[in-house]
Amino acid sequence: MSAEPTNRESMSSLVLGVALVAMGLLAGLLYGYACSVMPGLARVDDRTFVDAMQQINEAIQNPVFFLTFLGAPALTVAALVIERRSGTREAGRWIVAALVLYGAGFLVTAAFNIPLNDELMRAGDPDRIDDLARVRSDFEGPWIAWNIVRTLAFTAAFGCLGRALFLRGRTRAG
Amino acid sequence: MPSAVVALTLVSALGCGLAAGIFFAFSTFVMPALDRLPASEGIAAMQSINASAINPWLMTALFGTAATCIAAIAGALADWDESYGPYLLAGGATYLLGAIGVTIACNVPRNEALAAVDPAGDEAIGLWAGYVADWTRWNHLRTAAALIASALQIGALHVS
Repeated sequence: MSAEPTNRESMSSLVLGVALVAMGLLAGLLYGYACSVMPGLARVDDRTFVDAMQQINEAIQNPVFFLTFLGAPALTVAALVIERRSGTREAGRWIVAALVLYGAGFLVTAAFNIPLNDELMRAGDPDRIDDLARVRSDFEGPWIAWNIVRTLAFTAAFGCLGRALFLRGRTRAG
Repeated sequence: MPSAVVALTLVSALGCGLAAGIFFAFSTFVMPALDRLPASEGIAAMQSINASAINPWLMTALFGTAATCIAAIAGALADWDESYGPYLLAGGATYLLGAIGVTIACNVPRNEALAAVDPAGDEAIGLWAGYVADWTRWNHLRTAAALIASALQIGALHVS
């Protein structure tokens, strides 16, 4: 292969690079819950905890978040399609691994975190909840545990995409 | 690229990406959510988040990444003729100035001012609106800087 990238190769690397950045943003966002938001909220009283998590769950449903959450896998699929046409098989395998890991993180979110969020929202206005401590304890422990699982999955997906991009670069240079 | 520099660059790019995501969470939904709470609750929550920030996981993500960025810059300067040098230098410098520098110069002093007030007091409520606006604006900058740094380091890997 030539050392000078063709237009198609540059395009393919650009798509993979943008997918990588989007996946990193997503992994870091979830890591931010794990190492900053949840340890912080662990120390506040039950009413503040429930109120803050309810507001966070509403505020996260915004276009920028959804663009990242769905854009990362869409770009990864696009990178895979391009890779299959013009790239190396080895890089393609790492992109597939990234998609599988994203899928695992997505399933954990859909099966555990979102139902826990829904249950917390159904508890209603914090002023009218009789047993705030129970609403909190039903949510907090399991949500944090599943968030760590999905953070690991998305971070590993990010690492796989990094490996794929590196392999692409090395193949081209070689 | 020597394999030690590859490893440093991969770890730096991963670290900058994670840092960008952490800041991104605060910019896109954590601060807007805290802003909707009654002020005393929002202040208590943010004070607690700031107090718990000094933990190995967050500190490693932010300052461990700063260390690998510095090492990657050193690697770039050692082999300056290589095509990846400018990417590593620009990426590392962007993270160090735009993420770490802004944190120390802009976000931490605001956190310290917030930590000093009683969440239920009148002074706190006056401080809170300004804190949310200013802190979040600087946080947008940190998010962008860490994201650009990650992209530049990814670029370095690619051109290597």
